[in-house]
Amino acid sequence: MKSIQSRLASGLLISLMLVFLILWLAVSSNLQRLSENYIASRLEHDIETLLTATSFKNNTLLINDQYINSIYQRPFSGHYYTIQHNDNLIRSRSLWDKNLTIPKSINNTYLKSVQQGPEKQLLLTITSRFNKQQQDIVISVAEDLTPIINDISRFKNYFTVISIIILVSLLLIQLVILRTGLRPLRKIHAELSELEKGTINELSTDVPSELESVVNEVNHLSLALYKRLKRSRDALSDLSHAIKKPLTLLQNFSDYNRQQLDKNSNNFLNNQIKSIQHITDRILKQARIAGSATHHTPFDINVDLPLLIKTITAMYPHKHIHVNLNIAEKLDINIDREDMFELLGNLLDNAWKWADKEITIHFSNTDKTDIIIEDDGPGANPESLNELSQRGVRLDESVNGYGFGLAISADIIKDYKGDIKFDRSDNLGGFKITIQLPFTA
Amino acid sequence: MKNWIKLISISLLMISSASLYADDDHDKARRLLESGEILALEDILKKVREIQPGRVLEVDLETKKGKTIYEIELLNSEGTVFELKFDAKTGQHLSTEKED
Repeated sequence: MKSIQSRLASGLLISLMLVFLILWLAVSSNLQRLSENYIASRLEHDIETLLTATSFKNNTLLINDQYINSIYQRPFSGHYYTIQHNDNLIRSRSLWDKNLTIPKSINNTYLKSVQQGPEKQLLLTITSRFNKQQQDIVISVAEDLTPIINDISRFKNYFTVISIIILVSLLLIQLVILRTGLRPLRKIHAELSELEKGTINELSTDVPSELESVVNEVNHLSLALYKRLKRSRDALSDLSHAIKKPLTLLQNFSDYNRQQLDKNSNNFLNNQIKSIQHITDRILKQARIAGSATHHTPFDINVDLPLLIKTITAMYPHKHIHVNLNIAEKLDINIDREDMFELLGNLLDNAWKWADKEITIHFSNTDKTDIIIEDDGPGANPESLNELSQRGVRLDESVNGYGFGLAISADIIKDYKGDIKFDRSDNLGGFKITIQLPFTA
Repeated sequence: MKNWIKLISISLLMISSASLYADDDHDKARRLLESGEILALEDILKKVREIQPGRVLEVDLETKKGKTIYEIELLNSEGTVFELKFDAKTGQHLSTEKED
């Protein structure tokens, strides 16, 4: 889609160009008309002066030089007159060897025309018919328009240049206004990625009124999503709790009636009860781990990782495991805190379960977040490693629920478009899990 | 012939208080142009501008030793006044002088 900026800019450009064009047409046509009218009124005064200067003696036309402006004396000065009386034509000296074209049919008392003069001059000519001392005379006065036309075209050039300058500066001003106007959008964009990381709980509502509804909608959605997530985790936790009691009853039933029941059936029953207990324990554990993480806070490796290790150590009180932490200085972990708790919780729980006395936890940043967890336990054979990440596939039937946590972890990593790999640890000899998480999901 | 009668009558009238335009130098120039004896002032001015651009201040048509001569006074952009002389019949440039 076309950007708002270019759409507004082209709209402004077109409307301003239209305005300037109309202004230009209006100004230029009126300027020409106004200056012609001004010259015409001056010429009319000159005609009246000439009329005053004329007199008749014995039917012969006489002109009093005192009334005549010297500009009419200089040849081709641009100011000309002719006076016609019967067959006699008097020309101003300025006309020299030229003549003015006088319309033949001068019935009107007033006639305005434009004609070609000497030396490419353009002459505005006014011709009037008079009757003085019972004599008919026709006086024509002309003035060169080219200086005025040159002035007007110079003005038009100035006008065009100034218009272009104004147009460009208005576009620049509009650009600046737009940039500042769109700044809240960039801020919201930055805040949205913060919201995703969990550093903030909601978008700031200090935005222009036009964006307020969108921001409120996003905040509302984010809260609703969080509530939905919490509800499903709570439901899972509630379900596990609810199952515990009947399971215990079943276990007790099996224990009490050990003598009466068929041995195989009782073993089968016992195994299945243990299996269900393991699953519910795990779910409860997850819920407890996830529950301790508050909504939308980032995973703080310096605080949260020790907390997690402490929790898991408490789950295995009989084990004494040395933990090697290898954590890079500046770490950018783009993952929700609850998800991280669940992911690490599962993996560390698994490591604790299998480790003999040593676990290494490694966090580093390359172009992704790299997490490596190694233990010195028995590890897994190569065939099993391939099947490991599929839900429900268990490596060792004797420790129930083993594969379940790994599958959950694999699911979380898939959500973040990351990678999980299972290997044999070169350093500790046991199981090695390598995770790669992209910075932006 | 008619012109001559007019000329005489007008010459007589010129003596009276009001001066009369009838046969000043510009009318003579037009008459000589019409009879083909001289070139048009426009053509002379074209040559003038080729030699020395400027504004025409004054034009005189004089007859010296049977030759009709255009004397043109010109002001150039530096404020210097020139006087150029041309043969009115052939348009030949005769002289250029700076006026004092």
